[in-house]
Amino acid sequence: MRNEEQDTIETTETMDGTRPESAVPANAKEVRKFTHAEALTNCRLDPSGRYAFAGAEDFGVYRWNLETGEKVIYRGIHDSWVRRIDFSNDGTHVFTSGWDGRVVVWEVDPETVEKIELPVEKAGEGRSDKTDGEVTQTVESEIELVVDNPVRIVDAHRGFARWVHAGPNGKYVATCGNDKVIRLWDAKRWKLRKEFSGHGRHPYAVMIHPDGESLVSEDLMGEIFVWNARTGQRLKELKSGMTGFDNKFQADMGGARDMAFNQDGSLVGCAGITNVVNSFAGQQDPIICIVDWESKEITSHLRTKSNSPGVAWGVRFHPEGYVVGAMGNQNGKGTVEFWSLTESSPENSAEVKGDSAGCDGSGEAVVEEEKKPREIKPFHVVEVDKPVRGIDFTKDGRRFIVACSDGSLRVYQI
Amino acid sequence: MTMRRNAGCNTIDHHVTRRQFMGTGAMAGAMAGFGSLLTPAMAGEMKSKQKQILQVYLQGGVSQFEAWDPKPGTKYGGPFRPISTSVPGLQICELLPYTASKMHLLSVVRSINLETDDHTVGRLFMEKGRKNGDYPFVGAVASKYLTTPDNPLPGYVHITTRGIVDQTAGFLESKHAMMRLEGVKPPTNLERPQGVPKELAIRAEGLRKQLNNQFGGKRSRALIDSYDTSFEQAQQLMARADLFEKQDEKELDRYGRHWFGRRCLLAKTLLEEGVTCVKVTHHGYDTHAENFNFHVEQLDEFDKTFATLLGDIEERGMLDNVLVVIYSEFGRTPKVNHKYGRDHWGKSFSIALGGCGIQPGGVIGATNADGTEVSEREVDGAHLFHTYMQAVGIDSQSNHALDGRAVPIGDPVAAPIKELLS
Repeated sequence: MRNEEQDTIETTETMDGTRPESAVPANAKEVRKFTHAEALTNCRLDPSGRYAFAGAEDFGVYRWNLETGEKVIYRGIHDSWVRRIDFSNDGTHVFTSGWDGRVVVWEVDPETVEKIELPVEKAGEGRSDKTDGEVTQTVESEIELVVDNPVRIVDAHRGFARWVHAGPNGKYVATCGNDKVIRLWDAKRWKLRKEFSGHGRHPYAVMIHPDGESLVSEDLMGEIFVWNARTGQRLKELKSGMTGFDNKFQADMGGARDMAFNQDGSLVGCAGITNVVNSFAGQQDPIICIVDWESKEITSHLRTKSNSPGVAWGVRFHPEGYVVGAMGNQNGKGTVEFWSLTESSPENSAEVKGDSAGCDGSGEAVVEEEKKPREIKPFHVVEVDKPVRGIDFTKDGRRFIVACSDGSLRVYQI
Repeated sequence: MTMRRNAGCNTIDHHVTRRQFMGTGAMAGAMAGFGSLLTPAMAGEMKSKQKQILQVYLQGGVSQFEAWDPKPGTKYGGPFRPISTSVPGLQICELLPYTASKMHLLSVVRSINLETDDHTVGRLFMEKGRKNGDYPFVGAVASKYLTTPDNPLPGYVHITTRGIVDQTAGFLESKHAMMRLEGVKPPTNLERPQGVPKELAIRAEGLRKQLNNQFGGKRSRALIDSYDTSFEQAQQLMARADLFEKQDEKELDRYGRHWFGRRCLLAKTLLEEGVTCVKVTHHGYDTHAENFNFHVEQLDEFDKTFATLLGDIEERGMLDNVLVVIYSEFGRTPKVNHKYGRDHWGKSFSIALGGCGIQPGGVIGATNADGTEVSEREVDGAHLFHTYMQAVGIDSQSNHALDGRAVPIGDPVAAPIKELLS
């Protein structure tokens, strides 16, 4: 039974239209939960904050109306899991990228939604007819709302299209896939504008900077590349450490499972794993690396409170400045964790690196100072009873959704 | 001294000690060197007549869904799609495009049920054809019955980095036990220590033989003879260290410069040199987490390299005499867990095999729509063992002769998969 109280979404604005007091993570509470039969793979909120979209392990993309709970299925095109969802700049279209190499463009709110009547057998519920003293099963019907007519299908990559991101100016969309190529597309006609090659292993994520002039991407080996969007020149390479070679099983595992810029583009967060012990069993640490865009250096490592092994599947910058991460833990639980980047930390100290006296031949010591990224623990944690595989916030930061491995999509309010 | 660790996911192999090597592995020492002892005519003869086995072991349990038995769009099918192969109507997972182009050389068995989800039990069943008992592995049996008496090469070589320390010879002579190579490297502890002059080494060898004779005076010679053979082969190996030190650059470009590529290139060389059974392990399929990303990485490495090796064996005209088997100790669960992993699953999984004695291009058995159980022509490790033996010309329904006792080569309760045999 659905909890009617939980189904109520509290307004995020006061009666006179002004913003209420600051969003306080400690007040975060689950206010609604939508369920689906298959595990979800990720989630996004459309720019209006009205709809939650999620991919699932049944190849479908699902849209829930946060107010009414109406569920619409976008299906029939992807024949693999959808890994990433994004929206056009004007919020009218949703882009879905899948392990089938395709990016599909759909209308967020299509005029035509097919209604399909599905029979549902329910034992012992609803109307019961007694025949010879036995209760028969009652067949009821359920209406399925289906969208199967996309605006466009783009064969974006040979190999899985792991990521799609629409740039802030609405002109371009970036994708990456297992062909190891990053592609920049014209957002309206989906004509290929530029390719970026250089990742030695599969790139897992790519984002267009808010200034529209550059891209950032990260691959399986945790290598972060910054690219000039116009020239294709690689401007910076960073080794994030978000990877590991599993010695027992002799394979690499790592890469960005989510990536996000903050509102002014001064920071980018990359969510994933580090300290690989046995990735085949899920034994590695979740981590979120924060990159300072001006210096192009990794300035912070965000760690979980419990240090439970797992994966950081989501990262977002809250409008009020803190960072929010979504974790799927090895133990079958999940968390949403909140970090402050302004918090002072004893680890925040410059480290003198190397014993390099005379290395330049001058006989004088050459001391290179390298700032070790700050290790930051969260100031608040929301426990989730299932692993979390994605997170997204409304623009005002008052609500967030999480996609879980049990097929639930949960709505939280701060 | 070797150790045997607990079974399951933590089972790993251990370094070969000098004693272990001298006891079992050192015989392989001669394998590389022995090529030099064969005249071209002898080598040609060996190639044309000797039946051999190439085992490619995907350690940890490759997923049948992501390899040989895709179930696209079903409840447990996962994200990958099937692709067509060189055999009309036969599809395998899209992660194996190069292998797909060689499927006319292979057949698939999709209906294996070992009734175990345990690494060790599954591995031993797949190797010995029996779930219990001290029986020899496929490679050891092949070594015994297929290696000609005048062939000083080791009969059974396993190229791996990690691996399992098993008693592979069972009740057969120890010279048929698996000799393990740690990657493309000769066994360690074979070189004459620095500072020991050659003359002294020769005298030491004489002393060793003298002590062996004294020790064996009133004892069975079998064990000591086996050690002697091993030692002599080790000495010959030392003369051909070049086989391990330098692999052809162009060949590496074809096979891949990763560990598996180098191992498969060495495997090809060893088969060409006349080793009876060569086993190559590719690690990293025990994917309790990130099953799909790991299979992308691991099978990407496996696929092109294996297809290149298979193509080379065929091109050299060796496939009529080399049985090729790609296998694991079990498959992986239909259900995808919360870590995007698949767990152990021995109830319904697949292998592929081809070459010597095998009808190519076939599919044996089937699983149900969701892949949760075998629906047609169920077989297990015993059936497979019989099939391998029959394929290379060993009558698996006859007996080993052991000091007057008759021990069935294959499990008498099972039989070969006859429709698979050519």
